[in-house]
Amino acid sequence: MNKWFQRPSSQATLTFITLLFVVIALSLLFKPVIFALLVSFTLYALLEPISNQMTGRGLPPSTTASIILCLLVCLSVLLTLIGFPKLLDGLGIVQDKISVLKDTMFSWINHGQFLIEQSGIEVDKTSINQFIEGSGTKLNLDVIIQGSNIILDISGTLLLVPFIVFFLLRDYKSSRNRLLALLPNEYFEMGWLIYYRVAKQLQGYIRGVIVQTSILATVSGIGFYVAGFESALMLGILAGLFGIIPYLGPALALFPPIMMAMSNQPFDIYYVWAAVSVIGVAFVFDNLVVIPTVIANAVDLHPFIVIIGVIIFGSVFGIIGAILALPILATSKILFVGLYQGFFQKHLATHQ
Amino acid sequence: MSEEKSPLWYNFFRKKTEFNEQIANLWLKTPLFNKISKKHCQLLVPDMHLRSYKSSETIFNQGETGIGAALILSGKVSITSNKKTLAILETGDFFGEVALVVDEPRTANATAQENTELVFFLRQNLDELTDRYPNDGARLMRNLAKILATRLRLSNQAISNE
Repeated sequence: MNKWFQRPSSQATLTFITLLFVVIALSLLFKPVIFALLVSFTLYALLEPISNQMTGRGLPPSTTASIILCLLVCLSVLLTLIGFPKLLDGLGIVQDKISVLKDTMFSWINHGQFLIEQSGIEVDKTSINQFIEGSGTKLNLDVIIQGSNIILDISGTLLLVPFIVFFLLRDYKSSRNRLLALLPNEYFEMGWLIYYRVAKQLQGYIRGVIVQTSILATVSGIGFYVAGFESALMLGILAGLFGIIPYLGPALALFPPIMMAMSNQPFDIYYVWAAVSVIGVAFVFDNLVVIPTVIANAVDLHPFIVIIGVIIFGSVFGIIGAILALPILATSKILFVGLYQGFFQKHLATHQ
Repeated sequence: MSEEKSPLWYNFFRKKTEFNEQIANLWLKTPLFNKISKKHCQLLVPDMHLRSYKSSETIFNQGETGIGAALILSGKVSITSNKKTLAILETGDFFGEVALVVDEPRTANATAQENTELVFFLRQNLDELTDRYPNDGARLMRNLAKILATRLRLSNQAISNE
Protein backbone atom coordinates (compact mmCIF):
# COMPACT_ATOMS: atom_id res chain seq x y z
CA MET A 1 0.00 0.00 0.00
CA ASN A 2 2.85 2.33 0.97
CA LYS A 3 4.60 1.57 -2.31
CA TRP A 4 1.42 2.46 -4.18
CA PHE A 5 1.44 5.94 -2.61
CA GLN A 6 5.09 6.44 -3.63
CA ARG A 7 4.33 5.94 -7.31
CA PRO A 8 4.27 9.25 -9.27
CA SER A 9 1.03 8.25 -11.02
CA SER A 10 -0.71 7.57 -7.66
CA GLN A 11 0.57 10.82 -6.15
CA ALA A 12 -0.55 12.77 -9.23
CA THR A 13 -3.99 11.09 -9.22
CA LEU A 14 -4.53 11.72 -5.49
CA THR A 15 -3.45 15.36 -5.73
CA PHE A 16 -5.61 15.84 -8.84
CA ILE A 17 -8.69 14.33 -7.13
CA THR A 18 -8.12 16.46 -4.01
CA LEU A 19 -7.86 19.61 -6.14
CA LEU A 20 -10.98 18.56 -8.05
CA PHE A 21 -12.93 18.23 -4.78
CA VAL A 22 -11.69 21.65 -3.65
CA VAL A 23 -12.84 23.19 -6.95
CA ILE A 24 -16.25 21.45 -6.74
CA ALA A 25 -16.69 22.58 -3.10
CA LEU A 26 -15.77 26.17 -4.02
CA SER A 27 -18.15 26.10 -7.02
CA LEU A 28 -21.00 24.95 -4.75
CA LEU A 29 -20.13 27.60 -2.18
CA PHE A 30 -20.06 30.37 -4.79
CA LYS A 31 -22.98 28.95 -6.82
CA PRO A 32 -25.20 32.09 -6.52
CA VAL A 33 -22.46 34.29 -7.99
CA ILE A 34 -20.73 31.75 -10.23
CA PHE A 35 -21.97 33.39 -13.45
CA ALA A 36 -20.80 36.81 -12.26
CA LEU A 37 -17.42 35.30 -11.29
CA LEU A 38 -17.01 33.66 -14.72
CA VAL A 39 -17.82 36.92 -16.51
CA SER A 40 -15.46 38.82 -14.17
CA PHE A 41 -12.55 36.42 -14.74
CA THR A 42 -13.15 36.65 -18.50
CA LEU A 43 -13.06 40.44 -18.29
CA TYR A 44 -9.99 40.27 -16.07
CA ALA A 45 -8.19 38.15 -18.69
CA LEU A 46 -9.06 40.81 -21.26
CA LEU A 47 -8.24 43.86 -19.13
CA GLU A 48 -5.06 42.60 -17.48
CA PRO A 49 -2.74 43.78 -20.29
CA ILE A 50 -4.28 47.28 -20.09
CA SER A 51 -3.87 47.26 -16.31
CA ASN A 52 -0.25 46.09 -16.73
CA GLN A 53 0.45 48.97 -19.10
CA MET A 54 -1.03 51.47 -16.64
CA THR A 55 0.83 50.11 -13.60
CA GLY A 56 3.96 49.98 -15.77
CA ARG A 57 3.68 53.75 -16.19
CA GLY A 58 3.90 54.11 -12.43
CA LEU A 59 0.19 54.25 -11.53
CA PRO A 60 -0.57 52.43 -8.25
CA PRO A 61 -2.71 49.26 -8.68
CA SER A 62 -5.62 50.84 -6.74
CA THR A 63 -5.72 53.87 -9.06
CA THR A 64 -5.49 51.64 -12.14
CA ALA A 65 -8.31 49.42 -10.87
CA SER A 66 -10.43 52.51 -9.98
CA ILE A 67 -10.04 54.02 -13.48
CA ILE A 68 -11.01 50.69 -15.09
CA LEU A 69 -13.92 50.32 -12.62
CA CYS A 70 -15.26 53.77 -13.62
CA LEU A 71 -15.08 52.81 -17.31
CA LEU A 72 -16.78 49.46 -16.63
CA VAL A 73 -19.58 51.08 -14.61
CA CYS A 74 -20.22 53.58 -17.44
CA LEU A 75 -20.25 50.75 -19.97
CA SER A 76 -22.60 48.63 -17.81
CA VAL A 77 -25.03 51.55 -17.39
CA LEU A 78 -24.93 52.21 -21.13
CA LEU A 79 -25.49 48.52 -21.92
CA THR A 80 -28.38 48.32 -19.44
CA LEU A 81 -30.02 51.45 -20.84
CA ILE A 82 -29.66 50.39 -24.47
CA GLY A 83 -29.65 46.60 -24.16
CA PHE A 84 -32.52 46.16 -21.66
CA PRO A 85 -35.33 47.50 -23.92
CA LYS A 86 -33.84 45.63 -26.90
CA LEU A 87 -33.82 42.37 -24.93
CA LEU A 88 -37.46 42.89 -23.88
CA ASP A 89 -38.37 43.63 -27.51
CA GLY A 90 -36.58 40.44 -28.56
CA LEU A 91 -38.53 38.46 -25.97
CA GLY A 92 -41.80 39.96 -27.29
CA ILE A 93 -40.92 38.92 -30.85
CA VAL A 94 -40.05 35.37 -29.71
CA GLN A 95 -43.40 35.19 -27.84
CA ASP A 96 -45.30 36.26 -30.99
CA LYS A 97 -43.32 33.83 -33.12
CA ILE A 98 -44.18 30.90 -30.85
CA SER A 99 -47.92 31.57 -31.28
CA VAL A 100 -47.42 31.71 -35.06
CA LEU A 101 -45.30 28.55 -34.95
CA LYS A 102 -48.14 26.80 -33.07
CA ASP A 103 -50.63 27.80 -35.81
CA THR A 104 -48.22 26.65 -38.54
CA MET A 105 -47.81 23.29 -36.80
CA PHE A 106 -51.65 22.98 -36.50
CA SER A 107 -52.07 23.56 -40.23
CA TRP A 108 -49.28 21.09 -41.09
CA ILE A 109 -50.73 18.42 -38.81
CA ASN A 110 -54.26 18.96 -40.17
CA HIS A 111 -52.84 18.56 -43.65
CA GLY A 112 -51.00 15.40 -42.55
CA GLN A 113 -54.14 14.04 -40.87
CA PHE A 114 -56.10 14.65 -44.04
CA LEU A 115 -53.55 12.64 -46.03
CA ILE A 116 -53.50 9.83 -43.42
CA GLU A 117 -57.32 9.68 -43.23
CA GLN A 118 -57.46 9.46 -47.01
CA SER A 119 -55.23 6.38 -46.81
CA GLY A 120 -57.81 4.76 -44.45
CA ILE A 121 -55.92 4.91 -41.08
CA GLU A 122 -57.90 6.22 -38.04
CA VAL A 123 -56.32 9.08 -36.09
CA ASP A 124 -57.30 10.57 -32.68
CA LYS A 125 -57.57 14.20 -33.85
CA THR A 126 -58.57 15.73 -30.49
CA SER A 127 -55.67 14.33 -28.45
CA ILE A 128 -53.08 15.56 -31.02
CA ASN A 129 -54.63 19.03 -31.06
CA GLN A 130 -54.75 19.10 -27.24
CA PHE A 131 -51.06 18.06 -27.14
CA ILE A 132 -50.01 20.88 -29.50
CA GLU A 133 -52.18 23.41 -27.70
CA GLY A 134 -50.71 22.35 -24.34
CA SER A 135 -47.09 22.34 -25.60
CA GLY A 136 -47.55 25.72 -27.27
CA THR A 137 -48.95 27.34 -24.13
CA LYS A 138 -46.25 25.70 -21.95
CA LEU A 139 -43.48 26.75 -24.35
CA ASN A 140 -44.89 30.27 -24.47
CA LEU A 141 -45.03 30.51 -20.66
CA ASP A 142 -41.57 28.91 -20.31
CA VAL A 143 -40.05 31.39 -22.73
CA ILE A 144 -41.58 34.34 -20.87
CA ILE A 145 -40.56 33.05 -17.42
CA GLN A 146 -37.07 31.92 -18.46
CA GLY A 147 -36.51 35.02 -20.57
CA SER A 148 -37.47 37.31 -17.69
CA ASN A 149 -35.23 35.32 -15.31
CA ILE A 150 -32.28 35.53 -17.71
CA ILE A 151 -32.78 39.29 -18.12
CA LEU A 152 -32.94 39.73 -14.31
CA ASP A 153 -29.82 37.54 -13.87
CA ILE A 154 -27.93 39.51 -16.50
CA SER A 155 -28.91 42.84 -14.89
CA GLY A 156 -27.78 41.56 -11.47
CA THR A 157 -24.55 40.29 -12.99
CA LEU A 158 -23.92 43.58 -14.77
CA LEU A 159 -24.13 45.38 -11.44
CA LEU A 160 -21.86 42.89 -9.61
CA VAL A 161 -19.22 42.32 -12.31
CA PRO A 162 -17.45 45.75 -12.21
CA PHE A 163 -16.80 45.42 -8.49
CA ILE A 164 -15.43 41.87 -8.76
CA VAL A 165 -13.22 43.00 -11.69
CA PHE A 166 -12.00 45.94 -9.57
CA PHE A 167 -10.85 43.63 -6.78
CA LEU A 168 -9.35 41.17 -9.26
CA LEU A 169 -7.32 43.92 -10.94
CA ARG A 170 -6.20 45.32 -7.61
CA ASP A 171 -5.59 42.21 -5.52
CA TYR A 172 -5.51 39.10 -7.73
CA LYS A 173 -1.73 38.96 -8.17
CA SER A 174 -0.85 39.61 -4.53
CA SER A 175 -3.48 37.09 -3.33
CA ARG A 176 -2.23 34.50 -5.84
CA ASN A 177 1.37 35.07 -4.70
CA ARG A 178 0.37 34.70 -1.05
CA LEU A 179 -1.55 31.51 -1.80
CA LEU A 180 1.27 29.94 -3.81
CA ALA A 181 3.78 31.04 -1.14
CA LEU A 182 2.06 28.52 1.16
CA LEU A 183 3.45 25.67 -0.95
CA PRO A 184 6.32 23.81 0.72
CA ASN A 185 9.78 24.57 -0.72
CA GLU A 186 9.87 21.14 -2.35
CA TYR A 187 6.77 21.85 -4.46
CA PHE A 188 7.18 25.60 -4.96
CA GLU A 189 8.53 25.45 -8.52
CA MET A 190 6.19 22.63 -9.55
CA GLY A 191 3.16 24.63 -8.31
CA TRP A 192 4.26 27.75 -10.16
CA LEU A 193 5.06 25.81 -13.34
CA ILE A 194 1.55 24.29 -13.43
CA TYR A 195 -0.05 27.64 -12.61
CA TYR A 196 2.02 29.36 -15.34
CA ARG A 197 0.98 26.80 -17.98
CA VAL A 198 -2.71 26.83 -16.98
CA ALA A 199 -2.88 30.65 -16.79
CA LYS A 200 -1.13 31.11 -20.12
CA GLN A 201 -3.37 28.61 -21.90
CA LEU A 202 -6.61 29.89 -20.32
CA GLN A 203 -5.77 33.53 -21.02
CA GLY A 204 -4.97 32.70 -24.64
CA TYR A 205 -8.16 30.68 -24.95
CA ILE A 206 -10.42 33.33 -23.36
CA ARG A 207 -9.00 36.15 -25.50
CA GLY A 208 -9.26 33.97 -28.62
CA VAL A 209 -12.84 32.93 -27.87
CA ILE A 210 -13.95 36.53 -27.31
CA VAL A 211 -12.50 37.56 -30.67
CA GLN A 212 -14.00 34.45 -32.35
CA THR A 213 -17.47 35.06 -30.81
CA SER A 214 -17.46 38.71 -31.85
CA ILE A 215 -16.48 37.90 -35.45
CA LEU A 216 -19.00 35.05 -35.71
CA ALA A 217 -21.79 37.19 -34.22
CA THR A 218 -21.00 40.08 -36.56
CA VAL A 219 -20.76 37.92 -39.70
CA SER A 220 -23.97 35.98 -38.98
CA GLY A 221 -25.78 39.12 -37.72
CA ILE A 222 -25.01 40.91 -41.00
CA GLY A 223 -26.04 37.76 -42.90
CA PHE A 224 -29.42 37.55 -41.12
CA TYR A 225 -30.00 41.29 -41.65
CA VAL A 226 -29.26 41.04 -45.37
CA ALA A 227 -31.49 37.92 -45.65
CA GLY A 228 -34.35 39.94 -44.12
CA PHE A 229 -34.72 38.20 -40.74
CA GLU A 230 -36.47 39.97 -37.86
CA SER A 231 -34.20 40.49 -34.79
CA ALA A 232 -31.05 39.78 -36.81
CA LEU A 233 -28.97 41.19 -33.94
CA MET A 234 -30.34 38.66 -31.42
CA LEU A 235 -29.86 35.78 -33.89
CA GLY A 236 -26.28 36.93 -34.60
CA ILE A 237 -25.44 37.10 -30.88
CA LEU A 238 -26.92 33.62 -30.35
CA ALA A 239 -24.89 32.22 -33.27
CA GLY A 240 -21.73 33.78 -31.79
CA LEU A 241 -22.43 32.27 -28.36
CA PHE A 242 -23.25 28.82 -29.74
CA GLY A 243 -20.05 29.02 -31.78
CA ILE A 244 -18.05 28.63 -28.54
CA ILE A 245 -19.38 25.07 -28.21
CA PRO A 246 -17.02 22.89 -30.22
CA TYR A 247 -18.40 20.61 -32.96
CA LEU A 248 -22.05 20.88 -31.79
CA GLY A 249 -22.10 24.69 -32.09
CA PRO A 250 -23.24 24.96 -35.75
CA ALA A 251 -26.20 22.60 -35.17
CA LEU A 252 -27.28 24.54 -32.07
CA ALA A 253 -26.78 27.89 -33.81
CA LEU A 254 -29.06 26.73 -36.63
CA PHE A 255 -31.98 26.07 -34.28
CA PRO A 256 -33.14 29.67 -33.47
CA PRO A 257 -33.14 30.99 -37.09
CA ILE A 258 -34.90 27.83 -38.31
CA MET A 259 -37.57 28.33 -35.62
CA MET A 260 -37.93 31.93 -36.75
CA ALA A 261 -38.11 30.85 -40.41
CA MET A 262 -40.80 28.25 -39.68
CA SER A 263 -42.94 30.72 -37.80
CA ASN A 264 -43.11 33.15 -40.74
CA GLN A 265 -46.67 33.60 -42.01
CA PRO A 266 -47.24 32.56 -44.77
CA PHE A 267 -44.52 29.92 -44.54
CA ASP A 268 -41.71 30.64 -47.00
CA ILE A 269 -39.00 28.03 -47.67
CA TYR A 270 -36.65 30.89 -48.66
CA TYR A 271 -36.10 31.74 -44.96
CA VAL A 272 -35.15 28.15 -44.10
CA TRP A 273 -32.56 28.12 -46.90
CA ALA A 274 -31.39 31.59 -45.91
CA ALA A 275 -30.89 30.47 -42.27
CA VAL A 276 -28.93 27.38 -43.36
CA SER A 277 -26.81 29.45 -45.77
CA VAL A 278 -26.01 32.24 -43.28
CA ILE A 279 -25.03 29.78 -40.52
CA GLY A 280 -23.12 27.64 -43.04
CA VAL A 281 -21.12 30.56 -44.46
CA ALA A 282 -20.45 32.04 -40.99
CA PHE A 283 -19.18 28.73 -39.57
CA VAL A 284 -17.10 27.88 -42.66
CA PHE A 285 -15.47 31.33 -42.35
CA ASP A 286 -15.03 30.71 -38.62
CA ASN A 287 -13.39 27.29 -39.12
CA LEU A 288 -11.21 28.26 -42.08
CA VAL A 289 -10.11 31.77 -41.13
CA VAL A 290 -10.89 32.75 -37.52
CA ILE A 291 -10.06 29.60 -35.52
CA PRO A 292 -6.69 28.87 -37.23
CA THR A 293 -5.51 32.48 -36.74
CA VAL A 294 -7.05 33.31 -33.36
CA ILE A 295 -7.25 30.15 -31.25
CA ALA A 296 -5.09 27.64 -33.10
CA ASN A 297 -3.37 25.28 -30.67
CA ALA A 298 -4.98 27.04 -27.70
CA VAL A 299 -6.18 23.64 -26.53
CA ASP A 300 -4.53 20.40 -27.52
CA LEU A 301 -7.26 17.77 -27.06
CA HIS A 302 -8.48 14.82 -29.12
CA PRO A 303 -11.80 15.63 -30.92
CA PHE A 304 -13.43 12.50 -29.44
CA ILE A 305 -12.64 13.63 -25.86
CA VAL A 306 -13.99 17.11 -26.69
CA ILE A 307 -17.28 15.78 -28.14
CA ILE A 308 -17.87 13.40 -25.20
CA GLY A 309 -16.91 16.16 -22.74
CA VAL A 310 -19.28 18.68 -24.35
CA ILE A 311 -22.17 16.17 -24.33
CA ILE A 312 -21.60 15.17 -20.66
CA PHE A 313 -21.05 18.74 -19.38
CA GLY A 314 -23.95 19.97 -21.50
CA SER A 315 -26.37 17.36 -20.19
CA VAL A 316 -25.35 17.92 -16.54
CA PHE A 317 -24.87 21.72 -16.42
CA GLY A 318 -26.83 22.88 -19.48
CA ILE A 319 -25.60 25.40 -22.02
CA ILE A 320 -23.06 26.96 -19.58
CA GLY A 321 -21.59 23.47 -19.06
CA ALA A 322 -21.27 22.91 -22.82
CA ILE A 323 -19.51 26.27 -23.21
CA LEU A 324 -17.13 25.61 -20.32
CA ALA A 325 -16.41 21.98 -21.26
CA LEU A 326 -13.40 22.78 -23.47
CA PRO A 327 -11.49 25.08 -21.05
CA ILE A 328 -12.27 22.73 -18.12
CA LEU A 329 -10.98 19.69 -20.04
CA ALA A 330 -7.87 21.56 -21.24
CA THR A 331 -7.09 22.81 -17.70
CA SER A 332 -7.59 19.33 -16.24
CA LYS A 333 -5.20 17.89 -18.81
CA ILE A 334 -2.44 20.45 -18.07
CA LEU A 335 -2.98 20.01 -14.33
CA PHE A 336 -2.74 16.22 -14.42
CA VAL A 337 0.20 16.14 -16.86
CA GLY A 338 2.03 18.83 -14.82
CA LEU A 339 1.45 16.95 -11.56
CA TYR A 340 2.55 13.65 -13.08
CA GLN A 341 5.69 15.17 -14.65
CA GLY A 342 6.56 16.96 -11.40
CA PHE A 343 6.14 13.85 -9.21
CA PHE A 344 7.91 11.67 -11.79
CA GLN A 345 10.94 14.02 -11.96
CA LYS A 346 11.07 14.15 -8.13
CA HIS A 347 10.87 10.37 -8.02
CA LEU A 348 13.76 10.07 -10.50
CA ALA A 349 15.87 12.67 -8.67
CA THR A 350 15.46 10.98 -5.26
CA HIS A 351 16.05 7.47 -6.61
CA GLN A 352 19.24 8.33 -8.53
CA MET B 1 24.08 34.39 16.05
CA SER B 2 22.45 35.76 12.90
CA GLU B 3 22.69 32.32 11.27
CA GLU B 4 20.48 30.84 14.00
CA LYS B 5 17.78 33.46 13.53
CA SER B 6 14.80 32.09 11.61
CA PRO B 7 14.61 33.89 8.25
CA LEU B 8 10.80 33.84 8.50
CA TRP B 9 10.85 35.54 11.91
CA TYR B 10 13.42 38.05 10.73
CA ASN B 11 11.38 38.92 7.61
CA PHE B 12 8.25 39.53 9.63
CA PHE B 13 9.75 42.58 11.34
CA ARG B 14 11.67 43.93 8.38
CA LYS B 15 10.34 47.11 6.73
CA LYS B 16 8.85 46.13 3.35
CA THR B 17 9.87 49.12 1.20
CA GLU B 18 13.40 49.12 2.55
CA PHE B 19 13.59 45.37 2.00
CA ASN B 20 12.27 45.63 -1.57
CA GLU B 21 14.86 48.29 -2.31
CA GLN B 22 17.56 46.04 -0.91
CA ILE B 23 16.40 43.20 -3.22
CA ALA B 24 16.24 45.53 -6.24
CA ASN B 25 19.78 46.79 -5.54
CA LEU B 26 21.09 43.22 -5.31
CA TRP B 27 19.43 42.25 -8.62
CA LEU B 28 20.77 45.40 -10.31
CA LYS B 29 24.32 44.39 -9.39
CA THR B 30 23.96 41.09 -11.27
CA PRO B 31 24.84 40.79 -14.98
CA LEU B 32 21.25 39.67 -15.59
CA PHE B 33 19.87 43.10 -14.66
CA ASN B 34 22.74 45.06 -16.22
CA LYS B 35 21.48 48.45 -17.54
CA ILE B 36 17.88 47.72 -16.45
CA SER B 37 16.08 50.79 -15.06
CA LYS B 38 16.22 50.90 -11.25
CA LYS B 39 12.67 52.24 -11.06
CA HIS B 40 11.31 49.39 -13.19
CA CYS B 41 13.25 46.81 -11.21
CA GLN B 42 11.82 48.21 -7.95
CA LEU B 43 8.30 47.98 -9.39
CA LEU B 44 8.91 44.30 -10.25
CA VAL B 45 10.27 43.24 -6.84
CA PRO B 46 6.89 43.01 -5.00
CA ASP B 47 5.87 40.31 -7.54
CA MET B 48 9.04 38.25 -6.92
CA HIS B 49 8.99 35.29 -4.54
CA LEU B 50 10.87 35.09 -1.28
CA ARG B 51 11.75 31.61 0.01
CA SER B 52 13.69 30.49 3.10
CA TYR B 53 15.70 27.25 3.20
CA LYS B 54 17.26 25.50 6.17
CA SER B 55 20.85 24.30 6.08
CA SER B 56 21.24 21.17 3.84
CA GLU B 57 17.75 21.63 2.37
CA THR B 58 17.44 20.91 -1.34
CA ILE B 59 16.48 23.94 -3.42
CA PHE B 60 16.04 21.95 -6.61
CA ASN B 61 17.24 18.68 -8.08
CA GLN B 62 18.90 18.01 -11.40
CA GLY B 63 16.23 16.73 -13.80
CA GLU B 64 13.30 18.67 -12.31
CA THR B 65 11.67 21.29 -14.55
CA GLY B 66 12.50 24.78 -13.34
CA ILE B 67 10.51 27.99 -13.66
CA GLY B 68 12.98 30.73 -12.78
CA ALA B 69 16.27 32.10 -11.47
CA ALA B 70 17.08 32.64 -7.79
CA LEU B 71 19.12 35.39 -6.13
CA ILE B 72 20.81 34.72 -2.79
CA LEU B 73 19.81 37.33 -0.21
CA SER B 74 21.65 35.62 2.63
CA GLY B 75 23.38 32.29 3.18
CA LYS B 76 25.30 29.96 0.86
CA VAL B 77 24.22 27.60 -1.92
CA SER B 78 26.18 24.74 -3.42
CA ILE B 79 25.67 23.75 -7.06
CA THR B 80 26.50 20.10 -7.72
CA SER B 81 26.23 17.66 -10.56
CA ASN B 82 27.04 13.95 -10.46
CA LYS B 83 28.36 14.32 -6.87
CA LYS B 84 30.85 16.97 -8.08
CA THR B 85 30.64 20.49 -6.61
CA LEU B 86 30.52 22.99 -9.46
CA ALA B 87 30.23 26.18 -7.41
CA ILE B 88 29.55 27.63 -3.97
CA LEU B 89 27.43 30.74 -4.29
CA GLU B 90 27.01 33.52 -1.73
CA THR B 91 24.90 36.62 -1.08
CA GLY B 92 24.35 38.59 -4.31
CA ASP B 93 24.96 35.59 -6.59
CA PHE B 94 22.20 34.13 -8.72
CA PHE B 95 21.59 30.73 -10.30
CA GLY B 96 19.03 28.72 -12.31
CA GLU B 97 18.69 31.35 -15.05
CA VAL B 98 18.41 28.70 -17.83
CA ALA B 99 14.85 28.07 -16.62
CA LEU B 100 13.93 31.63 -17.57
CA VAL B 101 14.29 30.69 -21.23
CA VAL B 102 13.36 27.04 -21.63
CA ASP B 103 10.87 24.62 -20.14
CA GLU B 104 13.64 22.03 -19.64
CA PRO B 105 14.89 20.03 -16.65
CA ARG B 106 17.45 21.66 -14.33
CA THR B 107 21.04 20.87 -15.29
CA ALA B 108 22.42 20.67 -11.70
CA ASN B 109 21.39 20.29 -8.06
CA ALA B 110 21.19 23.31 -5.75
CA THR B 111 21.42 22.82 -1.98
CA ALA B 112 21.45 25.35 0.86
CA GLN B 113 24.78 25.16 2.72
CA GLU B 114 23.43 27.14 5.67
CA ASN B 115 20.14 28.86 6.50
CA THR B 116 19.52 30.64 3.22
CA GLU B 117 17.13 33.25 1.94
CA LEU B 118 16.39 33.37 -1.80
CA VAL B 119 14.28 35.56 -4.02
CA PHE B 120 12.97 33.89 -7.17
CA PHE B 121 12.55 35.76 -10.45
CA LEU B 122 10.14 33.55 -12.40
CA ARG B 123 9.36 33.25 -16.10
CA GLN B 124 6.02 34.88 -15.26
CA ASN B 125 7.90 37.92 -13.88
CA LEU B 126 10.00 38.06 -17.06
CA ASP B 127 6.80 38.02 -19.16
CA GLU B 128 5.41 40.86 -17.05
CA LEU B 129 8.63 42.85 -17.47
CA THR B 130 8.46 42.36 -21.24
CA ASP B 131 4.76 43.37 -21.32
CA ARG B 132 5.18 46.44 -19.13
CA TYR B 133 8.60 47.66 -20.29
CA PRO B 134 9.47 46.07 -23.66
CA ASN B 135 12.86 47.84 -23.85
CA ASP B 136 13.95 46.51 -20.47
CA GLY B 137 12.53 43.08 -21.35
CA ALA B 138 14.63 42.99 -24.53
CA ARG B 139 17.72 44.19 -22.61
CA LEU B 140 17.26 41.48 -19.99
CA MET B 141 16.93 38.83 -22.71
CA ARG B 142 20.15 40.13 -24.29
CA ASN B 143 21.90 39.95 -20.89
CA LEU B 144 20.60 36.41 -20.46
CA ALA B 145 21.88 35.43 -23.92
CA LYS B 146 25.33 36.87 -23.04
CA ILE B 147 25.43 34.92 -19.75
CA LEU B 148 24.44 31.67 -21.47
CA ALA B 149 26.93 32.27 -24.33
CA THR B 150 29.75 32.87 -21.82
CA ARG B 151 28.84 29.69 -19.99
CA LEU B 152 28.81 27.72 -23.26
CA ARG B 153 32.24 29.09 -24.15
CA LEU B 154 33.63 28.13 -20.72
CA SER B 155 32.12 24.63 -21.00
CA ASN B 156 33.66 24.18 -24.46
CA GLN B 157 37.05 25.31 -23.10
CA ALA B 158 36.76 22.90 -20.16
CA ILE B 159 35.92 20.01 -22.50
CA SER B 160 38.80 20.79 -24.86
CA ASN B 161 41.23 21.06 -21.87
CA GLU B 162 40.24 17.60 -20.57
